Amino acid sequence: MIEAALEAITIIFTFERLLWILAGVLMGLVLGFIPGLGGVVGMSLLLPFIFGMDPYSGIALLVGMFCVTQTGDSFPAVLMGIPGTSGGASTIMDGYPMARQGQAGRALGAAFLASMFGGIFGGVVLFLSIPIARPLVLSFGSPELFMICLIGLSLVAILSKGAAIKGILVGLLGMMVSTIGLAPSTTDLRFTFDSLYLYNGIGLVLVALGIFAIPELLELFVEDKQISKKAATVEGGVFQGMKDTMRNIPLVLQGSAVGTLLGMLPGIGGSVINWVVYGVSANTVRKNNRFGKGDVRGVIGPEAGQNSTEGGQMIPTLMFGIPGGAGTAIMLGGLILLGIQPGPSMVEPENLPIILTVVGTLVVANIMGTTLSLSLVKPISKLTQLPVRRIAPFLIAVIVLAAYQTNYSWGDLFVLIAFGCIAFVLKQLQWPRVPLLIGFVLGTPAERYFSVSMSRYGLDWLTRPGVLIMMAILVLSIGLALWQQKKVERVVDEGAAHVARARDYGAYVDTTESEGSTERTLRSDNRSMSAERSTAGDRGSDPE
Amino acid sequence: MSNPASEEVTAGQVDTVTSESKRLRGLRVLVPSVFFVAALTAVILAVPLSDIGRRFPLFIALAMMLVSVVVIFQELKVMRKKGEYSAAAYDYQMLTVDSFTALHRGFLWILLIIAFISVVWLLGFFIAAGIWISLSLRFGAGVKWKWAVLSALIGIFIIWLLVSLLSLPMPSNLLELIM
Repeated sequence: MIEAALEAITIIFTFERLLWILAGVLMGLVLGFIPGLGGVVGMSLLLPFIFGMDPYSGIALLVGMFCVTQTGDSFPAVLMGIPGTSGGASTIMDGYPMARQGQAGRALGAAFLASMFGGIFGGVVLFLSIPIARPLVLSFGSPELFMICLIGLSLVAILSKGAAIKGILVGLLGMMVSTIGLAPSTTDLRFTFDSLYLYNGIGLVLVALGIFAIPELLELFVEDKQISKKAATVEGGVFQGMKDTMRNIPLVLQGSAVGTLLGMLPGIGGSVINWVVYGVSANTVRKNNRFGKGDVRGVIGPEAGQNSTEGGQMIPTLMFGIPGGAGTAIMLGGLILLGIQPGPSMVEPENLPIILTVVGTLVVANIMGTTLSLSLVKPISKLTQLPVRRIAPFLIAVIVLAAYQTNYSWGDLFVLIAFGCIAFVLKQLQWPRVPLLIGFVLGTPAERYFSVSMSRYGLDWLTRPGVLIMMAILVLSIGLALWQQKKVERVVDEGAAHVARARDYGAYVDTTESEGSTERTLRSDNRSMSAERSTAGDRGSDPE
Repeated sequence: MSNPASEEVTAGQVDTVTSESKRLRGLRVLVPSVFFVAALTAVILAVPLSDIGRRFPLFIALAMMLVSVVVIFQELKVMRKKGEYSAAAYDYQMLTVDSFTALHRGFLWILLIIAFISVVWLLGFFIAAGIWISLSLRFGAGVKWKWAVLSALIGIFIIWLLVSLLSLPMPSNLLELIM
C-alpha cells in the first residue's frame, strides 16, 4: 500500500498532471458558479474529449472537475441566493442573508475553507476505506455483485423521493437500453432493428448528454424567468470567514463525517445530504437562534459536508462499480473510456495506484479550487451574473460536436436527440431522470454477474447467505421507497378531500380559492421538499 | 425552511402553473403505457433469441411490464381523485412556466436543434453553428443582431480552436462533397 501511495504521488506531481488538474478545476469552478449548469452537464460534455487520453491525465481532468463544482457553487448561493448546483442549496439559508447584511466576503471565505477541509476529509476516508473494504470486496462472488447492482438501482429509486415506483421503472428502462447490441457470449443481436449503428450498443456519453445536458439547456430557452439579477458585492471579510471556519473545526469534522458516510450510500445525492448536514449542524451547535438568518456556522457545516460527499461517493463507485448518482455514473463511464474498469478488481495490488491517484487528485483539486476561489473572489463574483441563456446556443453547438465524437456517426446525433426528448418529457412530467442513467450504467455489469451466476450455480445462488442478506436489504429499500410514496399520496388525498369539502359548501368563489390554496399547499410542500432545486438557477442536475 | 430565491416566484405564477398542468393529466397515463408497450415489444423481440441472449432482457422487460401496470393504476387512481400530483419526482420542474407550455416550447427548440443538425449535414459544422448561434441569440435570447453575429463569430473561433487542438473529426457535409 505504501509503495502504491508513493507511486500515486509520483504520478500526480508531474507538471502535466497538475496542469490537467488545474484545467479540470477551472472548468469545475466555472460550471459551479454558473447557475443552471453544473458538474454533471460539464462532465458529460467532457467525456467524448477524454477518449484516448493517458488514463492518469484523464483522471486528473475528470476528478479535478468533479470535486470542485461544489466549491464554485458557493458564489451564486451566497451572492444571489441561487444554488449553482443542487448540492449547494442549503448554503443559501445563511450565506445569502449574510451577503444582504454586507458579509458576503465572510460567508465566501468560510464556505471555501470549509469546502476544502470537507474535500480533504472525503479523500482521507476514501484512502482509509481501502484496507477495510478490500477483504469484503474480494469475498464477493458474482451473485453478491449482481445483488449489489440491484440494490444500487433500488436505492437510486429512493432518491426519486415520492416517485419510487417511477424511479424503478425508469431505472429498468435504463437497464433495458444497456442490452441493445451484441449480446455477451453469444452472437445474438438484441433490439438493433438491423441497424449497423446499434450493433455495438449505445454509448454512455450520448445517454449522459441526452439525459442531462439537453433538458437543462432547453429549459434555459423555455423559461420566462431571468436567472441573473444584481449580485451582492464582496467587500472584504474573506479572512474573517476563514477564521470562523478555523474556530469551528468540530463543526467542519461533523459535517464532513455525515457527508462522507451518506455519500457512501448509492442514491442519496448531494442535494439530500446537503440538507441533512444543515439540519444536523443546526441541531448540534449552541445558540442556534440565528440559523437561517445569517449564521456563519450554517454555511460552514453544509459546505464541509457537501465537498466530503465526493470522497464517500467514490467508495462504491470505484470498489463495486456502483455509482451513487449522476456525477459518479459519468465518472464511472469516463474511467471505462480511459481503459480502467472500476469494480472489485480495483483493490487488487496492481490497481491500487489508480485508486490512490484518485484520492490524491481529490485532495490536490480541492486545495487548488479553494486557493483559486479565495484569490479570485472579486472577479469571479462578477461572473456569476453571466446570462446563461446567452451561453446556451453555444453549448448546444458544442454538445452536437461532442456527441459526434462518440462513434463519428450521424447515428450519434439521432441518439442524442432521442434521449434529449425522452429526458425532457420525463422532467416536465415530474418523472425522475437519474435512474435512467444509473440503470444504463449498471445494466452491463448486472447482466455479466447474472449470466455468470446462472451458468455457475444455476438457481442455487439465490440461497447463498450473502445473497439472502442483500435481498433483505433490497426489500427493505424498496419498502422504504414505497412508504415514502404513500406519504406523498396521502398529501394528495388530503388535498383532494379539502377541495371536495370546499365544493360541498357550495360557495363558488371559496371553492376556487380553496382549489388554489390546496394546490398551493401541495406545491409548497413539494417546494419545501425540494427547496434545493426549486429555483430557476438550480436545475436539479444533480442527484450526484 | 423557505429558499430565498424561490420567493421570487409569486403565488399567482404558481397558480397559473398548477391550473394549466391539468392539461397534462392524459399524458400522465400515456407515459407508463408507453413504458408498458416498450417492455412488451422487448419481450416479443427477445423470445426468438438464444437462452443466454434473452435471459437478462426478458427478466428486465417482465419487471418493467409489472411496474408500469402498477404506475398506470396509481395514475388512474390519482386522476379519479382529481389530484394534481401523483408522485412528483425529486428532480424538480420550472415554476414560472407550466409543464404543458414547457413541453410545447421545448419541442419547438428540439425541432430547431434538428434543423441545426440538418444544416450541419448540408453546409458543414462551422457554417451551421454560426447560423444557429446568431439566430438563437437573436430570437431566443433577444440579443441585438450585431452582438449576436459577433458572439457567433467568437463562439465559432473557440470551437475551431478546440477542434484544431484536439484534432477532432468533423461530420462530413454535402457542400464538402460537391466542392
